[in-house]
Formats: sequence, C-alpha cells, structure tokens
Amino acid sequence: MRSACVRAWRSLRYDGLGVMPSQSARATSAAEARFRIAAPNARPRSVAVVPLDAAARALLQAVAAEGRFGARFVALAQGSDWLAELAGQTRALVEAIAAANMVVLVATAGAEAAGAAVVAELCAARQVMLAAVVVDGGETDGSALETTLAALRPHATMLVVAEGRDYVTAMLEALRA
Amino acid sequence: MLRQEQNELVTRTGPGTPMGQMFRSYWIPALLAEELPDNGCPPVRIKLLSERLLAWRDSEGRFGLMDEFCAHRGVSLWFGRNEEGGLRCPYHGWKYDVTGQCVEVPSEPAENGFCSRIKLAAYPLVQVGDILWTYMGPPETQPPLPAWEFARVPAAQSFTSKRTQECNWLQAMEGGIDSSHVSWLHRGALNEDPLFKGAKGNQYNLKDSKPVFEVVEMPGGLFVGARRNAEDGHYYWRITPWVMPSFTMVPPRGDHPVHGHFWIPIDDENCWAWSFDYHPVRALTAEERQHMKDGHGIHVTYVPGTYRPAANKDNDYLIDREAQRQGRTYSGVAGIAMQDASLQESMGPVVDRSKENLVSTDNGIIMARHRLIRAARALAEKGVLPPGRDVAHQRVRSAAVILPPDQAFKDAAADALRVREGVAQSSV
Repeated sequence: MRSACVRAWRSLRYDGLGVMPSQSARATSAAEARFRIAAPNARPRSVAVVPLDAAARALLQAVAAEGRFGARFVALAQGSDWLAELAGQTRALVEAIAAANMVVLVATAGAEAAGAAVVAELCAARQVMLAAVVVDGGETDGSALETTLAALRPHATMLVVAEGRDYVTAMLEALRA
Repeated sequence: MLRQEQNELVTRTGPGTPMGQMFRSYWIPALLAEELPDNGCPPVRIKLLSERLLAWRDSEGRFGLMDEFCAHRGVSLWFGRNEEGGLRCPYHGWKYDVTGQCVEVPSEPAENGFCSRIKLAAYPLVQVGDILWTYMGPPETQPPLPAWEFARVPAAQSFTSKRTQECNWLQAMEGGIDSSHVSWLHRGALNEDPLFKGAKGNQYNLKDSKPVFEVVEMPGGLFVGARRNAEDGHYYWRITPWVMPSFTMVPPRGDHPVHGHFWIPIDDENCWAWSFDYHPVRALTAEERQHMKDGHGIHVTYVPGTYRPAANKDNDYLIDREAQRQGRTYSGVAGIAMQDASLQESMGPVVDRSKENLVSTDNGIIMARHRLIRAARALAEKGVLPPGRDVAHQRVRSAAVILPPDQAFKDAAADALRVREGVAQSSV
C-alpha cells in the first residue's frame, strides 16, 4: 500500500525521466504559469517626447494633458526661425535627453522636421535610442511625406508612419513612457 | 506592454469574443487538402476558434465542416459512416449532409418531417490552392474567396505545410513581424539552409547586424521595413507585409521560393502555424520540394501520423547545447520554425503582456496590436468590417530591394510590394 502511494506521488511530481515538470519545457502550462515570479522586472524608464512641428506640438500637448504618462514632453520652437529660438530652449532639451533612456520625435507629414538633427546629435552624444513617429492623416501628398521622412531617416533607429494620431498614445503606453 | 484587459481582448477568439468575431470575418485556412483526399474518405476532427468541428468529404465530393457532435445524444460523428451523400451516426443512424442538415432519423416516420427540424451548425469549406478554407461568420458578410498569391498560382509552384503550436495565436504571429529577432535567433540559417543560402542579400544581413526599421501602415495592415547598408550609400531593404489578422510574408532571398505564414487559433492556448512556399513564375524544383518536406526553410518534420513537430516541448525541442556552444545554431534548437516555436511556447499558453518591457524596435508589434484592437472594437461596437477582407489587401508581396537613401520604400518599392501576374518577386 505504501509503495503504491509512493508511485502515485512520483507520477504526479515527475515524468518518466525522473525530471520535475518545472525542469522541462512542459512547464509552459497554464497551471505552471501561476508560479511565475510576480515581482517587478524593471525600474521605471525615462522617455522624452519632442514635437517637430506645430501640429505635433498641439497633439503632444493634448496627450500630456491626459496626465497618465510619466514621459517628459519637451517644447521645441516650431516656427520658421526655429534655429534662432533654439538657444533659449537648449537647457530644457539637454536636460530632458540627458535624463532619458529613449527619445521619441513626433512630426506630422509634410513637416520639415529640421530640429531632428539637433536632437539626434544630443542623443548620439549620450547614446540614447531615438525613435520617430510621423503622423500621416492623408492630407499631404507623398512628396511632402517624403520630406519629413528624409529629415528623420538618418537619425531614427525606428521610424513609424502612422495614419492615426491615436497611435502616439498607444505607442507611449506600450513603451511604458 | 498591454493592459490586462487589452491582452484579453486580442488573445481570446472563442465564440462571442471581439477578436473571435473578427477572425470570423475572414476566410481562414482550416485543413490541408491532403487531409480529405478522396470522396467518401474518413472525416477529420478539428478545432478552430475554440469550436469542435468535423471536416468531411461526402461520396459526391462535397466538402463539409460542421459541429462534431450528433444532435441526438452528443456522440462524436468522427465515428460516423460516410455513405451515400451523407454522414451517418453509428449510434442510432441519424444522417447529415455537408450543410449539417439532418436528412434521416430512422426511428421517426419520414412523413412527419422531424429530421428537417434538426440541423447542426456548419460552415462553408472550399478548396483554394492546396488548402481547404472556411468562413465561420454570418453568411450576409461573407467576403470574396481568398486571393493570396501563394494559393492562386498553379499547384506546381506552391508548397504548404502546417504544424501545431502550443501557445496563443498572437505570440506566434508577433514573431512574424518581429524583424529584429532574425539577426539573433536565425543567424546560422543564412549560410546553412538550402532554401536560403547563396543569395547576395544574405551578405548584407551578415555584414550589418543592426538594421534600422521603418513601419508604415497600409490599408490591409502594415509594411515593416528593415534597412541595412549596401554599396555606394544605398540601402538594402527587407520588407515584410502583415495583413490582418494574421498573414505575414518573409522577404525573399535571391531566386529561392518566397515564404510566409498564417497563424490560426485552435483555441486560446494553441494555434495552427501555416507555412507556405511558392514561386510566382516557375515551378518549384524537385529538390526544393524535397527540402520543404524534409523540414528545411520554415517547415518542420513531424511526429509520425500527426502535424505535431518532431521537436516539441516533450523532448525539450531536442536542444543541442554543443551546437549552441559552437554557434551552429544560436539557441541550440534546429530549424527556423522550431527556433521560433520553442521560444514562443516557453512564454506560456497566453503570455502576460502587462509584464513586458518593449523597446523602440518593437514598434511593428505595437502597431499590429493597435490595429487589431482598433478593428476588433470597431466591429464589435459599430459593425465596421475589418481590413484584410478585400481582394486588393491580399494581393501583396514581400520584397528585398536596394534603394537610394532618399527614397521611401513604400513608394519606391510600390510595384515590388504588389502582385504582378507573370512577374517574379523583387529580390536580391
């Protein structure tokens, strides 16, 4: 009787090779999933989000106003005289990028996105990943979109062309920004 | 990451779920045609979208896909007798046609019409290419038949296989648009696999292990472009289309056949990984076809008599630590398909995406989830039919091209990314 109990116990705990289920690839069952460690596996990350044109700035202001993201939304001059105005905004931009694990540039299709090169240089100096999203609502033609992409392509390791503005929110949430 | 409720929405595909409703908007691969080879052949039990079904081919050659269980006492009709235009339950002789209509109840007088009131749920099952496809949604919104190029070329130009994968469909599918893993997990395959090696484009892959990515929305889904440096300042682009909900094509290599996948839910914890190879303008050679049958490229070998891979979780995927140490395979698991499947199954039956830490190169995955959630909600809440049903959305190709640095791949490679009858794939 005792040996039968032992055999039954073993059949529950071990497979035919004498290996605990959790030691084999079979431990991918739903039942075993409850033993996964629940402790946090990452510290909060720091993301800086930089608009590259007026429409992108308005979009990001609305996103920031939602108040659910910890990302730092950086202001950057958007007018035609953006370079002249850059000096007054350099400190905030440098601080944001220095503190960031990732920088996301946001532009709308057709924007010249001239500020991208400056931000990219800062990111390169600090070895911060740079991604870019171009929101293309279909209002501009292909050549205008290409102008924006050409300004971003040399700098961004990931370049996304999204049709809807809601993608910016979805991406920031997915990246824990 | 996804919030828990978002993860539930995109992973659950049973009846009545938003994503289940979405999958029921498409023609999906159900069986290989080889599974029902002859008129009156044995029926096949199959589960799709968490529904237990029976596929069969009656004595007249008509295909049927219907509720597996007899309406009388719940017996599995897999035991049924396939005879004289119908499938007869061996328990009490109730007989059904391929539409699920009961046509005979021997214990009842034929005159009282009892059997006409008995009908099992059933779905259309049609052959296009070497696949039997089904549509499990409302008849009034049935889309046109599948128009995928791989299924429409002559049979000599195409090869399709399928395998079970023991995890949720989405984590399997996400591997198909996660271009950044290729430089790691599959790095050994470019020089070794007979269905990949020899292409000039392989050298760009091997020289530049840090590609830059562009993700572009298209009406039916996404294009994911991976960019590497080529000669004279030009870029080598590998462009992967994803068409909703679960179709992907791998960019081609040289004149090798082009390949791709469908991931179709069996239930929420298992899926079918469909893998196809085809050439748009020529027949596959006998050697190529044999390589596919031998499990090279994106195909696998099986546990005999099943579609379960020979390397599976019960044998730890036959992991070879010496091959891993020597770099012959990066993970120690052999074959591209099982390199992917072993890791995706290790995530658990339905991975908890609330614990993920995605990075910017995961934007293809982020965008695909975003599109799926948006489409599933639009269908469930407003009745808006999802992208990917239109023939035009399905007439896409993957491509591998070299472009000048100032050109957007979506425009510069527009012709390469659509089906052109009689024109070969764009490949390097």
